[in-house]
Amino acid sequence: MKFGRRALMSLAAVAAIGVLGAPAQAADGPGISDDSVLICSYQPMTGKVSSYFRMGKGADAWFKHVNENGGVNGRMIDYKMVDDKYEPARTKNIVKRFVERDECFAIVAPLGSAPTSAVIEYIVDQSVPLIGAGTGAEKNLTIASQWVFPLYPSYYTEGQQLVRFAKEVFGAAKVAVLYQNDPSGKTHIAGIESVLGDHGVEVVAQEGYEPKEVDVSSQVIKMKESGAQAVICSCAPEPAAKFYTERAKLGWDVPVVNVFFGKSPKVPELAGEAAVEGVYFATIFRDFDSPAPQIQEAKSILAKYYPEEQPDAIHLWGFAGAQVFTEALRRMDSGAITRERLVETLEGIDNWTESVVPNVTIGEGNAPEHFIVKDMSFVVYKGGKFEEFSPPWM
Amino acid sequence: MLGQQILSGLATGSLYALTAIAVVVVFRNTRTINLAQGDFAMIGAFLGIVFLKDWGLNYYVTILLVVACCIVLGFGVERIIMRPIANSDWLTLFTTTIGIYYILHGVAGLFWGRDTKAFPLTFDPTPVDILGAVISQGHLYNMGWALAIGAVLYAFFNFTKQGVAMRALTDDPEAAYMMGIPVRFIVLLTWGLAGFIAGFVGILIAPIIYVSPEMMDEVLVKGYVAAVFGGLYSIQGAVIGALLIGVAENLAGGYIGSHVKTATAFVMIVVLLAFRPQGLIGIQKRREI
Repeated sequence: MKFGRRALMSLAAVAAIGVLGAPAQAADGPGISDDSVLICSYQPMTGKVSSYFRMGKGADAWFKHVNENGGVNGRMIDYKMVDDKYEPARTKNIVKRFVERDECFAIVAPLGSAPTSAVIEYIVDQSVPLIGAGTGAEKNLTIASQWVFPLYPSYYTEGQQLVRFAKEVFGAAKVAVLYQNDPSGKTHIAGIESVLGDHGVEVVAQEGYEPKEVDVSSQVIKMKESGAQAVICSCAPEPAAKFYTERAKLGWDVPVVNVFFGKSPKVPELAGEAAVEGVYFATIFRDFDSPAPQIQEAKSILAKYYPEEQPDAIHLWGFAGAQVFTEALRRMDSGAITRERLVETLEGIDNWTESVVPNVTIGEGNAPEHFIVKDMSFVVYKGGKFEEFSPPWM
Repeated sequence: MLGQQILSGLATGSLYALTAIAVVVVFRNTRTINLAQGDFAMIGAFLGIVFLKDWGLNYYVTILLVVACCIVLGFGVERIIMRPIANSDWLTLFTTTIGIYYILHGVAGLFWGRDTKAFPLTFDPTPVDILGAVISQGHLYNMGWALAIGAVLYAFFNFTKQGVAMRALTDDPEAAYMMGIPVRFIVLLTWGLAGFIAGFVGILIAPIIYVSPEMMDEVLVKGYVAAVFGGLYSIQGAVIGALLIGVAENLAGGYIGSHVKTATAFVMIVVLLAFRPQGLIGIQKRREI
């Protein structure tokens, strides 16, 4: 009996210590240990749009570089990437595991409009920061949540700018649109349609394609027959290459502006340089040819960790989200590392110029103040390379 | 526009036809729906890049080497994986080919990466004008090859001893065995033939749809639908089915809307099977007895 009472007292003491000690132990958020931070990302590592895995490689290269240089405030960054093949059903399972099993601190630089659309409500409900997702679908960018920090302006805004581009650069009154039949393409269409009246432009053909479609010949024939004076191509690199090949085959010499997520050296590589000559592309970053030290650093980091990669803008998407996250973590050098504090710290980033994005200023609240990249620019493919191009209004 | 849509549809249909032929050849001799058929071609396409780009070989030497490698791949799959389970039910055989599909996907990704690659040899981009409609030289080659391979296989199955033996095996495996037909050898030959066709398909399709581990997924699905459309036992039926599907997809996409284009093949197969369960060329009718 005596022993039992002692045992009970000991247990009570242990419990008391546990309770008193609990606030200190629980101070840090999920995924944070004394020497590491677990962050996660879903990526199309395989599948039809696996060329977008460049984004994951860009982010991963950055985090490897950070870790090799001692990590952030003594903690290594454990960047966990899982392949969702750009299939939203897979993304749902993966993100659920990230949150409930792995306890990831944040989801950083994941890719995809359709995959993100499938999980964004869940991520927000679980109060997990989503930083620099590669998506321009309106739903993912306008969600009223403090937890979401979109990478770039919406496809809706881009669609509006491309109509203006077609009118003011090409002088086109009739345009044809080729779009991917998913949230990214439909958001572009909505943006395009919203400003047609303002610019006096008419859409005379609007053709969709499935990401896995073998060819886009029927769409291009129809677009050519429509009498369009310019084409807006809301196309990823592989379908864009098929479009330019088909356009060349039909001898259709129509000016084209491609959305920014199709700007990749893969396009001329797959379609042939001649087929892409003179095509304009929207873009959101400085090119890898830029002499800016931030870009040159990114280029050398990528070459070190992914030597087989041919650097392009999509790698920079990954760098952007990863660098902003790292910067926020660096600024949280004392005190508890919590998700709430991460959001507050991100919202305090003002005129920060040390990343691949020329200037990062993140405001309070949610989108559009939370956008990491706010401005869009243009390039034209000429003589085997992308050259900067300034439309009249820039 | 109509002529162009039809011609472009025939061009796409020829891609489906090349795969559909191989699906039929394997099925009629082994009762196996080979879901890895497209991946045989995918491996061939990657090997084509290695031989052309890395080894600097001539295009025609590359074709010979790729076809030889794919034949060996076909033999290997039969000897190592399919022969031990040859007497299993169709579902086991079918499921095993799904496994082979994933293995080949993984092997290709491991050796050559997941990224889409350009095939180093592209056809002359100058299109060919046919009655006012244009077609790329690459597609024209494919149409020619699809017809040529179909014709050669038709002749093989109808006019050669081995071909007739294969047909006998299809009709009644036990009787064929009793008649002294070397069943195991014929089955091995069938898988080699599947590799032979895949080698050509890989090299011919790669410049048009680009090279990646997933490059053949959609083509295989449409090729399989075309094979079923044609009756699964008939090479001519498979070719006709593939060309019809290619044209119908383009006409649906051009005149109804691009949103219905990819569903067209499946609507066609459902409608056809509802009215003609044995497919377009009704060899399968004998099963009704």
